[in-house]
Amino acid sequence: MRPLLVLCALLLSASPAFAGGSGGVLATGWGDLEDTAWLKGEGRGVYVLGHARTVYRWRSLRSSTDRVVPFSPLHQSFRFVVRDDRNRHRVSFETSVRGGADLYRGGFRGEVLYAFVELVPEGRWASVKLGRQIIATGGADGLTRFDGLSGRLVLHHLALETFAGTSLRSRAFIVPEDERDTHETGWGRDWTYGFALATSGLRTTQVRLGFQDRFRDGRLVRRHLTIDVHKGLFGIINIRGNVAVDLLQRRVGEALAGVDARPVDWLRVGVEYEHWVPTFDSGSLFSVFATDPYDSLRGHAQVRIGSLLEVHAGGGLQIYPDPLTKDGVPRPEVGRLSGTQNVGVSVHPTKFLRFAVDQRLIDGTGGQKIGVSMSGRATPFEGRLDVNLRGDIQVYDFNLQPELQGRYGGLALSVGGRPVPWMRVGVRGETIFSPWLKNDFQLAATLDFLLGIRAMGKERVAQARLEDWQSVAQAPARTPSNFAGLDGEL
Amino acid sequence: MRRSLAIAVVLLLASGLAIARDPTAAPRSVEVYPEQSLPITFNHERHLTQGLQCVTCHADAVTSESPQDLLTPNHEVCSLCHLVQAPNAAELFPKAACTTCHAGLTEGTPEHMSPTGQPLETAPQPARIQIPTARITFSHKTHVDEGVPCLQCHVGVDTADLATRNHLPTMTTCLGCHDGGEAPSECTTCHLQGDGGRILTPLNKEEWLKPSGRFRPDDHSDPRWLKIHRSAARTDEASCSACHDTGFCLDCHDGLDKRVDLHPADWKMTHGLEAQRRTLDCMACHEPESDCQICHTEAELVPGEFPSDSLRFHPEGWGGTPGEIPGAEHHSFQARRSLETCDACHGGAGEALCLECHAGLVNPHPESWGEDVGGWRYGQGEGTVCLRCHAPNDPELDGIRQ
Repeated sequence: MRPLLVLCALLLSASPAFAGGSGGVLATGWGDLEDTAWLKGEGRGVYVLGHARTVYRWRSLRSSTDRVVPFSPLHQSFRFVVRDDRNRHRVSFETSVRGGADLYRGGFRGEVLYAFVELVPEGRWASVKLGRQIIATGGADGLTRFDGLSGRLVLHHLALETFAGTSLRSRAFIVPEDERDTHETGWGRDWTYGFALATSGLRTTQVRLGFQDRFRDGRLVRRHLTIDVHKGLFGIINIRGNVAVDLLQRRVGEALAGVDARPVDWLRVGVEYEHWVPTFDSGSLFSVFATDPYDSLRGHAQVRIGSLLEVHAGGGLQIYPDPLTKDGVPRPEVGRLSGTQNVGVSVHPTKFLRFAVDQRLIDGTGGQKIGVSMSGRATPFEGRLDVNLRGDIQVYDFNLQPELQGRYGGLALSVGGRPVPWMRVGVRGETIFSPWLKNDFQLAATLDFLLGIRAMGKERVAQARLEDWQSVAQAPARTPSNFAGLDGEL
Repeated sequence: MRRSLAIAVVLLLASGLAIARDPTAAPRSVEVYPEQSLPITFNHERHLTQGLQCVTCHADAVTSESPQDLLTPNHEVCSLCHLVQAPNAAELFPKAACTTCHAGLTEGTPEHMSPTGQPLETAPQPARIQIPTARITFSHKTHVDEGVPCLQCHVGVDTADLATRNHLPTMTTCLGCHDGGEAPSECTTCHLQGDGGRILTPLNKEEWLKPSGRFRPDDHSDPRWLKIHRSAARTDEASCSACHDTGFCLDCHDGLDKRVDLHPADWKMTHGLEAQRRTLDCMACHEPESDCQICHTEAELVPGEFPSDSLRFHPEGWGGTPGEIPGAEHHSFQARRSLETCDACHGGAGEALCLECHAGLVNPHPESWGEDVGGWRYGQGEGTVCLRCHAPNDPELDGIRQ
């Protein structure tokens, strides 16, 4: 009980808001930002930031033969940044390492997630990164990690990007030794490179044309061309498109086009078209089998009613266009459409409280999947306490996938808090039931520490605020739709 | 009904366009420009039509280098014209009674003012004007030196009564010049820079500064943002890195601790689909040989374990007789529709299972194979995959070799 009271006392010790009063003109300044804002021109210097995160999970599930399987992974991650921008150009080193073991099974595993040096000249017209890095714009595959070099050159309204390095399996600094790739299993034979042309500095137009090759075991397995476009109109309409072409298999693997509009502050509407067909490494047997594309058309709308209520709804069609397979066999489910529909309501009684109910349905000739979820989030004490509760249930009934038939559900509760600015603690409990794995229980605990030191000439300032670290875990973001993350498919 | 709906849509779009075209109507971010309290009466238009210049009252603006500078005129400036200390102040032109500017301050008299127009300690206190400092970096001096006219940024103030938050420049205005050529386009040119050299986003304790989606497909307030952020990252990763470092991505993508609100309860059943569809998304952080297999092996969710006595994954008729397709339960339909779900279990070494039939008994190629494939598709990969079934000297590979 006493630790709880101490925690509450710490959470309640908020720093004062802007000073009030009467008479005269008051410019309140940056208020409570003044001790942390590192303002341009005033804040250049050398700083060191360190972040430690400990994550422990205990988990238990049933195997397919009804055996109880426990897991108990403990992971420790460290992030470390050194940055020097005293002389207007910037030199920085960033790294993240993690290690851990399953306490039931043992066997320590550790790796360097990224470690790179970045150089940026004055005016930021270029940047060069050397080392292990993760990039999002590598190509159609999303995140790409590699050991190598990447660079960006920004001309007026045009940017040139390139990267090259050994990819994925070529992992130095991997423990244990037997998980490292050798020359025989890929070291030095898995590599990737790519380049891109992109617009830069245009107010509402972004266009990016990218190319990426990926080699595995010395052979070219992927060659992608990507085209990503965005155009904003009148400040209220966004048009976006993403196309990924598999040049080896000569097919458009992904094409997405969407239009979103926010004509007034309380309304969002949009439509989205997606064409997708799976592509595989050319060395994979799966690249030989014929696959069918699917096309989907979706629409969505979100209405905010005052500051209290939000309603969102969406729906769409998923179309398998080919009535016959490439073998000339009639497809049982095709020639017909399947539809998706979702609706949700969220209520914000106060700024720090939110309740939401979401429903989703996928229905078609092959069967249906329906789900409902309820969630609540409370972020009192100016967001320093964060409580999440969520429960959901989904019913599968697909005659084309009878193996998935049944009820799935889950209940989760997480509590996180920042009793002091440089530390965050969190615990999460979750239980999931499915006809497959029966009950899956999970408990997780996280602990974050941040240490920051900034040196400005002879002055040395020690700072430590998790907010400045920009961690996802700290962001008081809106709770998104409970169905975010995966579109069901029929 | 349809007509009403159409009219409603047109009206909404029209109002949206009207807001978009009127810079003073666009909502200002309260994170950047906090709410103000302006209990005062003033008319900019009237003062300008009297021949006054902006610098007549805002003289310090031309030398100001920080938004923390207070640039509103004080009593001393106003009393150059408004003789508040004059005994007959209320009858003068321009008017000079306290209530001329401070609405409701009827108890104020000229006797409360010093000879220079400053209020004495005995003067009644008007409601306080509160103008919280804009949370940006800004130098009026730099802009004045560059010859930027006041009204280019403070659009509409020349026809306004009070200058409010709506007469402060929006990003649309700023980016008109800050395009990386005419003026720097680096975000921290204007936005406060936090430790880490990135934009300082926790500007107040309840809401962080977030992109609005007006300039990029990056509306962080969109409830679908977690799902669609990939598209924005692909289009312009550099804009993401203005606020986020690599570690920010890993907070979620490293797979150590899943957010409660991220996936529905059937995620365990469907993550294979996403895993295969976005192979590198997972593999950028996960090691398939350990991260995936530790669960799949321990839970006996690996090829070879199915069907077990207690559970059967695939339905009856799934395999069928080689060469025959009995019905919709046959695996070929599922495979053609979402082959990636097969690969989730049978990929990598698991491909051997496919080869048991497809290497000899059942031709995996469609009838049009020779016509629409030729050598180009697999020749690029040096035909590695062909050699999984075909012998190196198989004459059927001649086309590919060429």
